[in-house]
Amino acid sequence: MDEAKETRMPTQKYMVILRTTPGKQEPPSPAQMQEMYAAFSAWKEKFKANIVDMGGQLKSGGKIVTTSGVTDGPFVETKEIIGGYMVVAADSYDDAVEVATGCPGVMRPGKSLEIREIAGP
Amino acid sequence: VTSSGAVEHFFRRDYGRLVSTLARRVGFRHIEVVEDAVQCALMAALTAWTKQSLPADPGAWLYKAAYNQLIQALRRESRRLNIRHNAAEELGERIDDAVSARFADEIRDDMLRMLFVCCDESIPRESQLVLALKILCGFSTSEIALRLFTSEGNIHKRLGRARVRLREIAPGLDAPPLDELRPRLPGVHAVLYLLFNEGYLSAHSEQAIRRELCDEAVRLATLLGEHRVSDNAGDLRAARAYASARSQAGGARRWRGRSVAAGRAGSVVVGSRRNRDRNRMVATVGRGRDIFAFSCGGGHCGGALSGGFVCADPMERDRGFVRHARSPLPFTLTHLEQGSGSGPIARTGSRTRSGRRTRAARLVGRLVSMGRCAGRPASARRT
Repeated sequence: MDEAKETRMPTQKYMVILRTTPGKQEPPSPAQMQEMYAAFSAWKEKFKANIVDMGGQLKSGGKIVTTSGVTDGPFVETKEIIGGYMVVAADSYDDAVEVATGCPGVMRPGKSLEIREIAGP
Repeated sequence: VTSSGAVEHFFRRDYGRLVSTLARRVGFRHIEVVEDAVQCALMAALTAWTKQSLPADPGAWLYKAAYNQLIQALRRESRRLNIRHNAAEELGERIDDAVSARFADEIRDDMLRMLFVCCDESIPRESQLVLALKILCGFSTSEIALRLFTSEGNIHKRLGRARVRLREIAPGLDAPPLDELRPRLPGVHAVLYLLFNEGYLSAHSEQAIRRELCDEAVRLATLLGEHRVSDNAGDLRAARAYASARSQAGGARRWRGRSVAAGRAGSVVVGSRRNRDRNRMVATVGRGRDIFAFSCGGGHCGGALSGGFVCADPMERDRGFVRHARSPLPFTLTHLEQGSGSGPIARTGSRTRSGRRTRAARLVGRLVSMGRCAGRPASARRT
């Protein structure tokens, strides 16, 4: 992205949904956390004009609400669960993809991103 | 991104600091719970600090987070085991003053104590090293395996055995005064020496990894050298020697490049370079003696063996001091484990053609007879 785009926040917003395959992953080591911290800070700085809401990881467990009532969910048997989200502002899908994929730790095996333009102003 | 240099190793260093302090407070038998709690606190910090900005006092932030995690975990555990007097309650009484009044001295003492606890006599030397790397240096099992050239399974096994031993420590002996731990000093020296050597002499291709191990040895040796528990000024001198040896080590590539050149040039050193190199050699011999005396616990055999260290110094070997280079120092962890396997001892041969033991074999023999070395010399294994 060029300089002109970075100075203002684009008006169009996109929802980024991170999908992960359920299951326990080995926690990162302190050294890896150090790298992640540095990478996150750099990413945040680079795309500060695009990040509307950094969102975050979603904890496991939750509730599913339908007209027939409230149940626990999502179920661990499902192949993929939503693991995190964020909202970015971008001028095009291409730009949104660039911001989202630049986020450290997102592009890993077993993870995928769904990027959807948010309708309305 | 200017701050990235300043926070380098911050997570890793704080891991060791927090585990040491908290383990002393709740007892070393809870070491695994403590490690998990600190890990959780670091994860929480990673999320919180990236979303917001770095807190004013990251150390205090982490301590509080780790402490809360630990309390919760210990409560869960004591509920499960149905113990009335649990460690969490004991900790709860002591925590108020703990958060407010933690001095640099206290933290340093905690880390040193942890180093001595890792060097418990009943834990094999290799496991002591792994334990120190895990707890004090904050490396994960896969990172340790990578650095020590062994499998992750092997590291897991060593850690498991060491932790079993830590769990057996009686509750009353949880926070022994450092002075009482002084008899373990030779073991601590040996572990620091191994740590340094694994970085300095290792054939690892990645320079950063080797440097890191050297740096950790320097850091812990300095910690030890500055404390009254170390028996003499030798520890601090050795720490400085480590540091200067490390700063001289230009990395694997440079060493290797030189050794090729040295191999071609043979042992001929001519002209004015000769004096310069000799001066350097003398300086390095001095350093080598310091380091070696350090590893032998107080310099009893430093003078006699310093010649051996020169051989192990790649700087000297690569400059073409072939006479020295014939017998590399036979005292790295890999060599101890491999015995007569594929280490330099085996490569150089433990006996000369005339049947005499090589200098390398003699050095190991001497170390073993002094009880400074856990292994047996290559020559002894063969018989």
